[in-house]
Amino acid sequence: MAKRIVLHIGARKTGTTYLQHGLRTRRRELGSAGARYPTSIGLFRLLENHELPLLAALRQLSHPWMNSGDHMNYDAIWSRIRRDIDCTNGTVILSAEALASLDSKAIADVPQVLGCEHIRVVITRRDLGRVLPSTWQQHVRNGYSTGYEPYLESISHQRAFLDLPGTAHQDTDANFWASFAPGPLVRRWQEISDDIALVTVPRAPGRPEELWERFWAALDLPGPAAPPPEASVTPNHHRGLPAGPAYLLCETMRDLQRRGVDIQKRRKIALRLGRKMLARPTGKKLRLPVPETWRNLVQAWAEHDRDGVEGSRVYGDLSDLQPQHSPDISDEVLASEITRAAAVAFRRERWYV
Amino acid sequence: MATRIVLHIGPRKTGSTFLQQTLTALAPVLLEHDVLYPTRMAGADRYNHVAAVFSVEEARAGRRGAWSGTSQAPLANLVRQIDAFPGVVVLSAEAAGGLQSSAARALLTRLPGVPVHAIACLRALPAIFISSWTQHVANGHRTSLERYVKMRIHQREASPPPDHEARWDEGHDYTFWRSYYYPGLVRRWASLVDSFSVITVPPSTSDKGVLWSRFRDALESDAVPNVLPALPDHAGNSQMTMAEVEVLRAINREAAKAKLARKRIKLGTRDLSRNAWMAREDRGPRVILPETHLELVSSWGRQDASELSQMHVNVIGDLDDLLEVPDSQYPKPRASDVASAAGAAVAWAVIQGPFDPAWRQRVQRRISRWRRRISRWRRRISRWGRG
Repeated sequence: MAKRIVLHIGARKTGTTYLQHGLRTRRRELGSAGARYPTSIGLFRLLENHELPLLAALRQLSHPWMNSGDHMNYDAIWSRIRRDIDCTNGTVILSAEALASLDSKAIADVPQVLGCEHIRVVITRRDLGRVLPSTWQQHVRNGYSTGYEPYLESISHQRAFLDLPGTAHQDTDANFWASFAPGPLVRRWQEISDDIALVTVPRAPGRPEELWERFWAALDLPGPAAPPPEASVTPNHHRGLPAGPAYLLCETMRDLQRRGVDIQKRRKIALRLGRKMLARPTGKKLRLPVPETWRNLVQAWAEHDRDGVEGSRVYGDLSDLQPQHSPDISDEVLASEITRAAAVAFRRERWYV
Repeated sequence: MATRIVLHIGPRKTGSTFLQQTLTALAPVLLEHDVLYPTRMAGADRYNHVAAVFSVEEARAGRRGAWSGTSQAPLANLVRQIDAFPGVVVLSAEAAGGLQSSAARALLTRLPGVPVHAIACLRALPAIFISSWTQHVANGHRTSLERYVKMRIHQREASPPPDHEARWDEGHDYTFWRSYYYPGLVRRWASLVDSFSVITVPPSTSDKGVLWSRFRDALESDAVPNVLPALPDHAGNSQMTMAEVEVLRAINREAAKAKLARKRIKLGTRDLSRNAWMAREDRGPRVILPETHLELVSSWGRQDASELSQMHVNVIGDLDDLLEVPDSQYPKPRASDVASAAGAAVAWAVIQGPFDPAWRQRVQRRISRWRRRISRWRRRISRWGRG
């Protein structure tokens, strides 16, 4: 039986893919530190992370990341992970960014599902200036057609219900703050553990290894571990879309919706198009900034959230969570980025042309 | 043999597609009144006779159809129909307006020796510049509006009168000014045909029925109904907005980078405007001439209209229609307009799939033809084996 479980709960868009990649590639260092990151689920089958098996084990079947019928498969995978936990005589690390959006009721089942009382919860946090554009482009890549500003308006509206008890946290798109408001998030997880670690994602431009070092410190394992190798750290489906392709994808989804294409099909198309556009990037690859009219409000949210992390141990610097905005993009440049992205997507879809 | 030929020579971008589709819809009614508008040539349905004109032009210039890919069959077939019909024959080929004198003469020589009445439609020059540029991009080019306009302006300024007409008539690259320098167009065609009329195209805001009514007057035939028949949605070529043309230019640029032929690019983007963009509610600002060139182009329009008014030509409509000047504010497409047009284009491409349906059909036909051949050979071989 594992003596301790370190549960990394995200949130999404906070370097989780990079960290999970690090955990997978630094298996030897973990072993010598008496820890394990269970990823093997059969001959030649490896897990990237544990979110879907954990969601299945917690019976979070209506979670948007779960497809209907998936849980049967993931139940079996979870049994295998659970066997690993039971056989390990040290620390087991699990990483599941979807867990940040769970509500208190689901969180209460976590110790029983993990079969371990001593759980350290690690939360990774990134500043809102980078998280908001990133979650919007992910929202669009999930097949939705909400424009950037309406998306921000919806998030602003959700903020009003931040502290209401009993708010459902299943829908990651409908409840942004379930994952990204640190105060309520820490309070929800404190109900099952008093060992909460908060890792801040360093500000850009910084050393890429810095996040890894902070995360390793938060794991509370002996000795240092080298950062993950540089090459192919982030696969295409986890890389953020630049501004032009993100706007293009949003409008493509809107048009497909107008033509009666359902959300499941749109999601597949969006994933395919996103991959194609990232595989052949064009233009200046400009990052999407938070619109200027929103910056004061975002700043106010960040200041409010800064006060809500008492009771957690912070790895990094809380000043990293001050919103950091990408440079503004003029309308003309954005239009040109969109047309370039459209030409690539059009040609890739209709390659006869 | 026909008693008279009425030849509509366009030029392009002056409502020709709309007029041709109207004539096609009315063809059965016209036939009852001894007026033939041929809609079937060399085994194919056609709503105009451009292929026949191209075949003359390309045979004369020794080029094999860059666009039409035609043989001499459409023209020969057309001549046979004219020979066999005992009434008035109406032909419409907007490409004829841009023909050099020698090519126009060659065309007329190939037609049966009956009186020919030619009709040209004239439209305000600023509108022609815009429409011509959007067509240029729709044909697979990547030229920006600014560059295109400058190119046309240079062609006109580089050939001052009185030599310009002769120069434009000689050079192959001067189709634009052969078509849209209206006094020259009238002089060239009036000298070749028995009678000639010009129609002025009413301003873009007018009812389409006005243009048809003028065309009907120019046909000088009571058989032609004055009421417009029911036409398919988007009859005529649709005008693209600035954002849409910019997206199309980017697609053309990308396709050209892959060294694709323009014909193939055009085939691939065909129907994009009609099926992806027309149905949208807010399509953004229309294309208009950059302010820096508007005054010059409008002044040429005024000069040409004034020159026309002094010529002895039958004008149907109002020469003031040629003085129409669009809004002078040059619209920069907003990023949101471009995103909307680009998204609609990509969505259409996703739905349409990688191939052009016509191309797919052609490939399928070829495959089945080869299958039939192979099975025929098999049968022969097995017979030969038995025998």
